[in-house]
Amino acid sequence: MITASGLSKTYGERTAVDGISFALEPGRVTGFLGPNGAGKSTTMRLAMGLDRPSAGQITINGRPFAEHRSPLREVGAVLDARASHPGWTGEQQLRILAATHAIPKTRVQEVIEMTGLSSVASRRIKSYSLGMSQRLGIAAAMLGDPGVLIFDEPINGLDPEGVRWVRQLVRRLAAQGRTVFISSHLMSEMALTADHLIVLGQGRIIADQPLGDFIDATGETRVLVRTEDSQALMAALAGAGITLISQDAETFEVRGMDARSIGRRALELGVVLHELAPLHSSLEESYLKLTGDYVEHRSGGLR
Amino acid sequence: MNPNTSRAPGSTDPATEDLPAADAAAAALGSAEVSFSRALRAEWLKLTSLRLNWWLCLAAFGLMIITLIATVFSTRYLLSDPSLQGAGAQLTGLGLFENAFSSFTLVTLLMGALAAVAITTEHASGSIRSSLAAVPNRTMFFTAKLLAVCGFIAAITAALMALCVLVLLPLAGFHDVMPPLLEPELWWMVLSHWAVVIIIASIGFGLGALLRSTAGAVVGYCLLLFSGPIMLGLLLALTDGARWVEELMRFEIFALQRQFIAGSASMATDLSVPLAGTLLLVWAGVVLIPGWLLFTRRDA
Repeated sequence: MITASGLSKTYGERTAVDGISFALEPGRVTGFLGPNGAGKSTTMRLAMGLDRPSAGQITINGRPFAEHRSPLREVGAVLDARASHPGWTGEQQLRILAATHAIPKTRVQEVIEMTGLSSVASRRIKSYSLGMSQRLGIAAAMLGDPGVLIFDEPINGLDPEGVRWVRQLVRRLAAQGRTVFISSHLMSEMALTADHLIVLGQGRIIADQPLGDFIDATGETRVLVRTEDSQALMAALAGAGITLISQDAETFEVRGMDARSIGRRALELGVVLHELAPLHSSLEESYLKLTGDYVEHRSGGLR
Repeated sequence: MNPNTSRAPGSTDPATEDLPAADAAAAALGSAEVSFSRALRAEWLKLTSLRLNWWLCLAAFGLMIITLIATVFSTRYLLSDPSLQGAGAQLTGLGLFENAFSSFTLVTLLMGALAAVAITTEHASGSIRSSLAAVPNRTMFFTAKLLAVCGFIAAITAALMALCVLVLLPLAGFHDVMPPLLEPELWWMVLSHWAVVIIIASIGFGLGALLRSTAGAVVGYCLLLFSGPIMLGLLLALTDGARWVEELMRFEIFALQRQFIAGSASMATDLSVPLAGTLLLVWAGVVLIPGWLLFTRRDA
């Protein structure tokens, strides 16, 4: 379990994390979202004791990370895929970490096999692709078979098979009762992986709720309508707070009115409906809507 | 999974999942904990796993071999001087060792660079993050790394010393200038050179911890060792040999090194050997203690 309480971190005049509090429960995957510079990586670094909080605290299983007697058994973290000495081999890196806890060599071999690194384990890390480095980071995180896992952008650089493997691994780890805390900018993956979301914006928590609730809370009611008399029905539906978006001669999208009301109106008009389908917002849409005001580094428009 | 870790209600048992032998892993891991001796072993593994360290050691051995070859050839000419025969033979035997051991100044430079790189490379490569994930107690990490580095340097320097002794003793015997092996002079020279290399090289480690930059630490180390004598020499000239400058010169690193090593050799010394040795340790402490304080307080 990871618990943050009034956690803040400032670098000079810039506040990276601004008094956030949360509690991550075991047995679920908690996704950590936010625009670039929102404070996600800083929060994870604070959890791992790499940075010191300016105020508040963050604990893992009730204690600050540095106070655990068996850190690798408590927490596994991938904060930076390239956080390894390029001159070591993958196996050397894992053996060095294992030596700090007298973890047997058989376990090193296990995590090498589990992450699919067997064929490259004896190669120097500088020759690894980003995907291989990610797998090595995950192998290091799994070395002590920890109950808490912290992954910062773990699927960056992975091929589709690797992305699916991480997704399944993360789901399985949570199913085993572990606390999994994962950040990613890939909304489609997060939608498939996370049970719960924490969204940061400019260092503050702007959402902390289950994935489904997050999408429903921030998404807009949209309904897809298909009929041969689209113009007549659109005219009948038009009104304050309702947006109609025509897609083709027979199809249009309605925002601001639910499917039941649209069906009733069509019946009153005697219009035959071929399709009446509520559209669910995607995580990406909900996320973009929620964080729009918190984006610090906005892209320029396409020309 | 760590048995102390809280588990979600209704979660499945790890053994029923297809992660490789999760229960077997848990059993094998037992109550694996981090300890100082384990952290020390990990730091030793890091040192011996890096090619750069072996290249630096190879350079030190190369330097020593060149020095010894030069000593072998020059000895013939040194001993051709009749004034060095007879009563002066013992002194010449020690002089033979002194000449060869003078190259340990360069070994000190190489080992200082090795010590600096041992810590700066953690920051440069980002491996400090995985290191501190395994050993989050920073004082333990710093001390284990310092001890491992000093141990590694001690072993390499001891090997270099052994090489010197193995070459120089037969050479001295061959030319009939064998220094007395039962007297402490020769062995003090060996031991003090060995200790000085370790103490001064640890300054490189402290600078690495302070600056976190390999270039900065190595340049700073060289400046600290060499700029002192140069600056004080210039100051002495500018002040027409002022007494206080002469006093200062006694406390400069190389001056302390000479006074410490000269303990039972023929060189005159102002400071006693224990005091010179203590002051060398103070020099190391002056860099190591702030390095440790910053390392434990700074963001990684």
